Amino acid sequence: VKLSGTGTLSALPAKISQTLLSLGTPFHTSLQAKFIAVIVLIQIVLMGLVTVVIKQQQQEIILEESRKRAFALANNLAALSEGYLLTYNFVKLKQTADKIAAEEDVAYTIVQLHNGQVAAYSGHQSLQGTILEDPISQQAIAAEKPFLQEVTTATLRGAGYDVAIPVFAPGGTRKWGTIRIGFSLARARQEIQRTTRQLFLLGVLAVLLGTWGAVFLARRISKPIQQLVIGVKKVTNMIDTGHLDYRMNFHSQDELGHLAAAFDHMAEELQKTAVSRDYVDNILRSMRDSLVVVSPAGRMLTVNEATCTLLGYTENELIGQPFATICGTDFPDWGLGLAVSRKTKGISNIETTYVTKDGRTIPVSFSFAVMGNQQGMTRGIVCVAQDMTARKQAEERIKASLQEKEVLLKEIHHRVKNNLQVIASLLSLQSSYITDPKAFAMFADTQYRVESIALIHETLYQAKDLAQIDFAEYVQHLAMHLFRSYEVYEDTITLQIHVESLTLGVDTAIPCGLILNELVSNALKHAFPAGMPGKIGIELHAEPAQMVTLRVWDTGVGFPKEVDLHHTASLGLQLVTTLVYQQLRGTIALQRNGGTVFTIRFPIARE
Amino acid sequence: MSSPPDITSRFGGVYRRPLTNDPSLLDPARTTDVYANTVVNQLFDGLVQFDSDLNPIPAIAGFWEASLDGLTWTFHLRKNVEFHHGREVTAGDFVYSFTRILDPAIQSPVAELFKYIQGAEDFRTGKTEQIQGLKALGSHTLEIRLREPYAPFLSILAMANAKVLPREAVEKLGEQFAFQPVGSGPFQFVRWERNAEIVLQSYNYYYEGRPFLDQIVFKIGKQDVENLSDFLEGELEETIVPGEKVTEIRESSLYRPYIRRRIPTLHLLYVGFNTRKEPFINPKVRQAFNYAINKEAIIREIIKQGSIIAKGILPPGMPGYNPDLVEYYYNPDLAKQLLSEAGYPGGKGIPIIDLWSSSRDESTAKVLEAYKKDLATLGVTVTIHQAPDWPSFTKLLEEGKLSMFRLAWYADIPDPDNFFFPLLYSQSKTNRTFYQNPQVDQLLEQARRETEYLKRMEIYRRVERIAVSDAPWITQNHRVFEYLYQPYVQGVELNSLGPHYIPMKKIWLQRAKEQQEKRNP
Repeated sequence: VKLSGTGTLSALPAKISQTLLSLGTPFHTSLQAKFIAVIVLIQIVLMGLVTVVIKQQQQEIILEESRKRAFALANNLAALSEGYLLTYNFVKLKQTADKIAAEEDVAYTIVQLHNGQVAAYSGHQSLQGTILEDPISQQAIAAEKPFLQEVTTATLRGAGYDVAIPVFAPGGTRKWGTIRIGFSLARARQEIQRTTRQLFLLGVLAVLLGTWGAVFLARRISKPIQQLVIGVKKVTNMIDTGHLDYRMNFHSQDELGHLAAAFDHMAEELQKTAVSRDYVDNILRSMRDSLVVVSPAGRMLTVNEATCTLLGYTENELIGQPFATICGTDFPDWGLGLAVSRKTKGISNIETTYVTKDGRTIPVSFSFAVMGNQQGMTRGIVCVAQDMTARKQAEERIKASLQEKEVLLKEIHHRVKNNLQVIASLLSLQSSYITDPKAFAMFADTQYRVESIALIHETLYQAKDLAQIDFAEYVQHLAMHLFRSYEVYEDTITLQIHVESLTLGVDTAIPCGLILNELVSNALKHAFPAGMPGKIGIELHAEPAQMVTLRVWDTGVGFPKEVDLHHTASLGLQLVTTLVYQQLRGTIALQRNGGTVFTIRFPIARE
Repeated sequence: MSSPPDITSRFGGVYRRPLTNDPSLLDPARTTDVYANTVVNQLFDGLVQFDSDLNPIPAIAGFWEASLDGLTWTFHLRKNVEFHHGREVTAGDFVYSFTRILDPAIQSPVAELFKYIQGAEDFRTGKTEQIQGLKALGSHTLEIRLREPYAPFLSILAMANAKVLPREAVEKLGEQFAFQPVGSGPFQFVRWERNAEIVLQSYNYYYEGRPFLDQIVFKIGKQDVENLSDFLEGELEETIVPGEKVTEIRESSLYRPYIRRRIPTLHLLYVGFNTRKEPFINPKVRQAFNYAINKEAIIREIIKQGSIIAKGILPPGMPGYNPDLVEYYYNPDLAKQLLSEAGYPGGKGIPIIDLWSSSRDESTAKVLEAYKKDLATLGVTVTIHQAPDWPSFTKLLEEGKLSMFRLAWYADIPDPDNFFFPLLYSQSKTNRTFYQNPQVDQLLEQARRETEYLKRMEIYRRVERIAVSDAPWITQNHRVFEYLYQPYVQGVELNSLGPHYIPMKKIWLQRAKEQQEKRNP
């Protein structure tokens, strides 16, 4: 079969050929060409076989028909002749024999008597009465049942049959004679030849038709396949750059149609998700954090460059190795397997360590997420780790500087307290020279005020937190100090302190301390004249909405009615209201029903 | 291969068959009537026999040869064929039997047919003691040489008359042989009660093996209608359907259980004139009588379905039958004219015509009445007579005493010769009209020698035209025989020669088997 690839290609529509050639692929053995070649080859072989088989069959049928006809004619002659043979009616035998001999294909008819004597011989009347000596005749007259000899003689003009029918009379004791006809196969041969010719022509026609059909089919099948090939190449970036927008737009109800539709759908999906290996690789490569994908069995599947850089391995050294290879000793021992088995979705930012190739421990902020497929099966665990070395170092530095500042602040508080203490001592020393009791009292008041501030700084530098004061402790210390200073004994005036454990900032604590100092001093100085027993209470408690209530009360003689809290000449009270309104931005209320109750409410601003 | 039917169950039974008339005798060489032939065909065998298509096929001769000139025939006899009295049939028996046919003393009706054997004439005229052309070449080889080619020769050998007879029995019994015959056929003679019944029984040593039937009883002398009623009562195994009953039997469900068979027969029913007696010497009178009879009405109204009108002589189916024959038709005026031309204007001068028949059938009586009536229009007076029995009727015919008579002829071989020669040849024993026409004689002899079939048929057509014109008879009808058989009757092979050529050796009774089963449950 001579069907070169290029020859076939030229038969293709120019457009497709051009496309194929432009792809730069060796398309001269394209699917289409192979398809056509195979179909044509099969056809030729098949038609050849069919032709041979049919020819053989036809030949057999024609020969069989000839045999049947020969027998039918011979039987006919035998039936016609039987009666005449019994009556030895030679005239009738001759007439009958001549009649059958006139039939088409019949070359001769012979009626022979039981002894082989010719009773009638079509066209050879002179032979009547003779004995035919030829072997065919000898065989024929010996026949005890219908007998066919395939012979080739001049009288038959070639090959033919000599059919002999023995004649027996009903009830007869022996064979009466033999009827013979010579049947020429000349016409049968012609018919066989004609049939063969027709078969050959039909075969050629069938092959031509088949070829046309094959080309048509091949085109029909290979065109979408070629489109698909182009599409796949375009989409897979083999041509140009990733034509995810390529569509086959081939519509058909057959498998090719489904394939094209599936391809289009795939391309669309690809385009939609924009997922490509490169895209993901780029993301991974550009990631500065370490990324390791671990298989459910605990083997590393993917590691990014950052991981390799961090740990000093090459990618090949890590892929396939157990994840434990890079885990530090403090790596959580629940491991990743546990996470997988428990179907944990993942965990974020735990601090742990990785180990480098050379054994160094690297602190990392470690997160992982379990990657499952649609069926809920775990496909792997994505582990991301951030190198924490730099941050740790910074943290250490900050901690150190903070400690330094704390010491410094303590020192400052200590020194401020000492300085204030010195001022209070100076005021005390100076007052000892004052004879005027009024002036002495003013000096004492000032001395107490300074001491209450100093007490705050003392409390502060003794506290753990340099910015916050445990106010309950401070109140206790301040009250005790004032009682001592005014030489008040607790067996006459009892002190009741109800202060919630509350820490206040320095900005709040100092005005509060001064307010307490003024109000408690005031109560000690004026509420219980001439050793009158009673109670003094200090209460502090937090209220909703970041409010604090400070209450200072006594069971003394009560605040003079004529004194207006807001318009008083007393420096102490002026100081109190000023501090409440301006420093604390709170309110102050005074109750004077048998004793005095000052209620101050102010907000505490939290950082 | 299908296994052969179990034929043992077919054996047995008595077959009762009606015979319209008592046979005159049962000597094959001398029988002239179908009644005798019916019996003779069961008792005797010949060299050959007819198959159902009337082709001669082997009988006692299992094979024969003929010379190319058709003159010398050599018959090879079967061995171990025995006469009923136990002797083997030999070629010599055939020489004896055929010689006997040619013996003038025997007066065989078929002697003419055997005259073609070489030396037959010399023997008949007493010049030789033996017939030159008849020779036993051995005990089982018979040679017959013919004087000249004779086409129907082989068929003649199948005739009821050409049977083989055992010489010693014939000679021993003499005239009595014809009444207690000995043959070699499938059945042997038991008894014959004249005008009552003939009983035959199966011959156990028949060469083909004994026939199926144990016995045949021929019931003699009843009319067809009586036979039919006997048949319906189960007294007969078969019966002829009377012509006037054909339609009834065909249509009535009463007859549904019976087997009805119908076959056109090579038969001619005629009313003959004695051409030696006045007024029938004059052909014009005979022609006038032919035109006077309304055959068509007779067949339509009396004979009804059972027949075909006879235009000429040969029945349809017989070689040489001429459908274009110009026939006599009913034309009383022409009849009167012819009668007047003959010298009997208005029937004056014609004596009272005696019309004879041997039939006691009612329908025959009616037909003859019709003849009487039709002829009365010509001014002819007819008296109808019935012969007491067949033998006496035959005797009257032979003696030429009857001037007008009703007769039938059945062919013995499917050859026109078998109609024309026995009935019209001047020397024929069965030429009951004593018709004599030298031209016809000459043509008939010429036809016998003619081997060319078409030429022969042409001769017979000429003979028929002459005979019709000469009108020695009124040919009335060809019978289409219809038979009824009991439902258990099997193996009946009808042929167109008529009921007397049915080979009864092939008949068997289903009932026989049933009877046997009843006897031996």
